[in-house]
Amino acid sequence: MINLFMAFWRLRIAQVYLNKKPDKAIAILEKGIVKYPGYSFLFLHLGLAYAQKENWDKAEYHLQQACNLDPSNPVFDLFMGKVLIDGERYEKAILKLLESIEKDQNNQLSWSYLALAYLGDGDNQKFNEIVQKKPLSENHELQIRMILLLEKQIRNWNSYELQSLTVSE
Amino acid sequence: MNYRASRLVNKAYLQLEKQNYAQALVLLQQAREKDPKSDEVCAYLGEAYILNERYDEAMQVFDDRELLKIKASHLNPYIKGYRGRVYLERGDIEEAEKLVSAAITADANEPEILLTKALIQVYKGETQSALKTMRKIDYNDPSFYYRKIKFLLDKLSKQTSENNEC
Repeated sequence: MINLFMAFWRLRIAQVYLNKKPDKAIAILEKGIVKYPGYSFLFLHLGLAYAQKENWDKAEYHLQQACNLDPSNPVFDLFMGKVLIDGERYEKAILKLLESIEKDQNNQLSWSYLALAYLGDGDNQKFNEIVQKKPLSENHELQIRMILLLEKQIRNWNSYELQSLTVSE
Repeated sequence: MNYRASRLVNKAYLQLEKQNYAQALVLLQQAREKDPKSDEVCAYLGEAYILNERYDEAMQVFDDRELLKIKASHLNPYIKGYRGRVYLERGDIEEAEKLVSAAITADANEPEILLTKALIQVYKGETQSALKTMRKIDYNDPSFYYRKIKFLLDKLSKQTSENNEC
């Protein structure tokens, strides 16, 4: 019980630093997962902190650890799916979000993010199918990502083209 | 701006609210005919050209505006931001970034200008910064996200059906 309280306390301290000093938050969380390796929320927040730094590999690794520690929690899969979309890892995001939906079919946000992942992956048909069946969530974080992905899709900006353009510039 | 032009501008803004961009453009073109020397009308007309994705005409109107006596100088940063959008559409990211940054520094926090900044960030692979920029739109226009998604979904579906016809 004391262990759980201490792990939770460490998490709260890290959250205070997350926006202004993400490196410090990461350092606190990294120490936390060594001390409390069974506390899934430390892994979740460490993954999210790495996502904020756009270190997608580490973000993915730690979010997967969180999912492994609490495999029945669909919210962890949803968070991971959202981060995978931000990191443009759409195929993996689709799989993760399908896992989340398998655990909780009624979560509208998971369906909406799944639609988004299909959109990012260029599968407009599946995107449309979901959008027609399930109303899009009014969550602003989702709406923001949808606007950016739709703009990218309409402009035909994909990662490969962008990378090659950046190199040639 | 004279009275007749002002009435048309107000009508145009009602159409913009309803996302009837083409109708708004017609009204603003009429407003310009009524008051060709109004720099304010030119600014709004340029914005309408941008929303109708007629970028060359928008630039022309903005250029024309600079030849007029500028009374509404508070609109200058917005015009910089919109010019930035045109450069983005033309693929000149560097120039787009300069103009949009200058606009935002001068507090021209229009949703479309913030979106332009976010798109530049997406283009450069700065995903988290793009998301942060997009979150700022909420303060100025909470319904922007919904309207924009609706507009973009329509556009994507038109684009898809055109591609299928080809």
